[in-house]
Amino acid sequence: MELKLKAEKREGSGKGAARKLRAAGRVPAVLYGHGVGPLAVSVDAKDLFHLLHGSAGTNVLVDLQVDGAQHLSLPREIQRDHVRGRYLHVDFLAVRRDEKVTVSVPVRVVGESPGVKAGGVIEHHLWELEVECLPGDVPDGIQADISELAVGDSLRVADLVPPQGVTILTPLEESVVSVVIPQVRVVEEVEAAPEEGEEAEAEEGEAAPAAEGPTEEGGEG
Amino acid sequence: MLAPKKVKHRKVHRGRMRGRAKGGTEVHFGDYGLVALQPAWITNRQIEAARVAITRHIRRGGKVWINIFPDKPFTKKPAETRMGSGKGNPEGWVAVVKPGRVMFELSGVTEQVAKEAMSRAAHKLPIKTKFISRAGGSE
Repeated sequence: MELKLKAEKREGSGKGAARKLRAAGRVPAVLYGHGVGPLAVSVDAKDLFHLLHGSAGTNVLVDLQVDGAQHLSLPREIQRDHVRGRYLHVDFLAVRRDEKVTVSVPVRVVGESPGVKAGGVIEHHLWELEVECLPGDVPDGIQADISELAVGDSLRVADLVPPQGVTILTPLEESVVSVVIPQVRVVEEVEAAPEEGEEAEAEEGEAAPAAEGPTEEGGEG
Repeated sequence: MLAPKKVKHRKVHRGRMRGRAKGGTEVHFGDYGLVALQPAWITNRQIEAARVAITRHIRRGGKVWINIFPDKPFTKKPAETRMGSGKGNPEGWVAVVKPGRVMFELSGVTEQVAKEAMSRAAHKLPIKTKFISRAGGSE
C-alpha cells in the first residue's frame, strides 16, 4: 500500500523551531537514505495521523513529496507524546522499489482455540516479527492460526506461513502464542514493614512478587 | 498486598515528581492499558483495589499485568504529636507514578470489557487516567 504525503522543507532547528511548527499543526520530520539528505522537513499533523492509522500501521509505504520531488520512503523512529497522543517527530527512510528492506510486522492471532474453550488462556509471547521483503510487499501482519492449539500447546515462528516474497528473520524456534492454564495468585497480608537491611522471611517472599518487571496473573475463578 | 521483600533504607526522602514518565509508556504485555495522566503516589492498597476491580469484572479468561510496584516507604507522625523529634514511623508503601506511565495491562478480553474493567480500576486511583489499546492510538 502506497500513500502520498506532502512535506515542506523547514528552516531552523532545535526545540524552539520544532515547538513553533507543532503549534502551527505540523510535525517536524527528517528524510534520509540512498543518497538523500538528511533533509529536514515538516508534514501536516492530521495527514500524518491518518497515514499511520491505516491498515498497514506504521509500515506504510509513503510517497513523500518535497518541493516537487518524490521520495519513496518508510516511516522509522516515530516519536509520540504519550499523554496527549500526538506525534512529535518522524524519520522517513528513503527506499528503492527493487531493494529489500527489513521491517517489523505485527502478529495477528486468528481462529478459536479448543484450549481456550477448555478453560485455558492465550499467552502472547511475540507481538512482532522481523521480516525481509521488497518495500511494496510489506504485509499488514502475519497470521498465527490458533485453531488447533490445545491447553499446553504453543505455536512457534516456524509454524507461521509468511506471504509470498516475505522472509522471516526472527529465530524460527521462538514461541509466538501458547495456551496455558490460568494462574490464580493467592495474596497474603504483609504484617509488618521489613527492617532496614533485613533479610526477607520465607513466608513473605512467597506473597510478594519481585520488584523487577510487571506482576502478572490470570483472571479470578 | 504488594511490598518489597527487603529494603536498604527504612525511611527515604519524599522527592519530587516533575516531568513525564521516561519508560513504561507503551502497552508491552497485554492488548489494553491504563495510562496515568497526572503525577501521584499510588499506594499498595490502591493498586490492590484496582487489581481486584479488574479481575472481578473480567471474571475469567483474561490476564492482568501490574506494571508499577510500591517500593517507596512513606512515614507518618502519630496523632497529636508536637513537631520535631525526628522523622515519623514507616506507614506504608507507594509507587511513584508520573504522567504517561502505563500502570495496568489487560489481555484476553474484548475491548468493551477491557474499557469497563479499566474504568472500574480508575475509580480506585487518586489520579486522572486514560484507556489505551496496543494499536498505539489513544481512545
